[in-house]
Amino acid sequence: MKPRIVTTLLCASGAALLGAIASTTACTIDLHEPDGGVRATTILAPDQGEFTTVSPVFERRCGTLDCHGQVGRPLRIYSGLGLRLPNDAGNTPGSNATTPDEITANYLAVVGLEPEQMTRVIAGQDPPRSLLILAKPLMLESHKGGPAIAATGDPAETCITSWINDGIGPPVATGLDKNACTQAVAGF
Amino acid sequence: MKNVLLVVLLPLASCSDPVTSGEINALPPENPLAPVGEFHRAGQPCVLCHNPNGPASSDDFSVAGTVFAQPQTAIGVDNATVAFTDTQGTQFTVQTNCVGNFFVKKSQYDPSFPIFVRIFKNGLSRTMQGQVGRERSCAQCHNDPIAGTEQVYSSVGHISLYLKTDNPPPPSSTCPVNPVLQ
Repeated sequence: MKPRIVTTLLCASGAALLGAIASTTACTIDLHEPDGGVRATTILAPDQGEFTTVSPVFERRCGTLDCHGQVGRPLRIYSGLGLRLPNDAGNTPGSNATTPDEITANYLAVVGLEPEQMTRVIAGQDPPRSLLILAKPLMLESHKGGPAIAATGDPAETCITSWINDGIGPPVATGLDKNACTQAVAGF
Repeated sequence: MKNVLLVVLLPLASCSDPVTSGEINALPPENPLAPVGEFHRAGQPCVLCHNPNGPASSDDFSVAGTVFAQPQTAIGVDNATVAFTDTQGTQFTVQTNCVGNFFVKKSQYDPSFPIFVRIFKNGLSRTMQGQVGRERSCAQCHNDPIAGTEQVYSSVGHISLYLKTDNPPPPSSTCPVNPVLQ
């Protein structure tokens, strides 16, 4: 039996592919392994470049070593103060800032936690709060780590939601709220 | 008879947490020179056992750990103050004993996580850069991984009050247990 590799392919811009969903081919799960063994799920996801501004929110609110900064945990988050991606640069927890590779890994963890649901949200079918990355820290769903984001008025939710909305495109997109992203990590 | 025994024993076995049990079993044995008590198991994850479901449930700790002198050595620091501030702004302080151990019972202080931690002694202060998300045993993250292993990417080393280049005061000479682990 030939082994199957599950690969999640990510789109840098959700809006660009929005029209492709309707064609019923772009986002279907391919079970026929047309490329000789790679099984791919194409999903819609918010912008990866903007995530550089959003990543510190996940790093400081979620990525401590006792929470999502652990190898064995879903939504694995790397950061300068927490878990480090194996490296040859000598980076260990507490030494040196989060690297671009770690930010990329964080992006993949965030958008890949629920690839189908992320696709629905970016397609405008469900609200951002339906994603676990918001529902759990907001305690809309049970969360072992408690309320990592306050239920109302927390800049962390504003930051993450603005990033997601930017991926959805008009009319909900109002631009990434960089100020909220900065405020969200103040004091953490 | 064997079948009856299985029926009785299986529910009991399923009540234990295999993750916690595994972690407890992985701990080194008690040091006979540091018998069970406030000075034992310095640098180890206290709340693994000191929790309502653990073998030391009579002493239920909300947070506990050990303060050592420097990163490169494991010498306990006595009379250091460990200060906690929780997410509600509630504060609590506790002193280390002569091997550097500190522990807070839930009846004294049951913080709302995340908590922020600072340690200080004789005017010297160190503040933890990040917050404690939910872990009650400081040593779960503050441990000393073996160099060259993957664990170096997930540990910040033991808690230390002084820097490598500092010249800390000598450890307690009146401690009933040797505060020098290495």
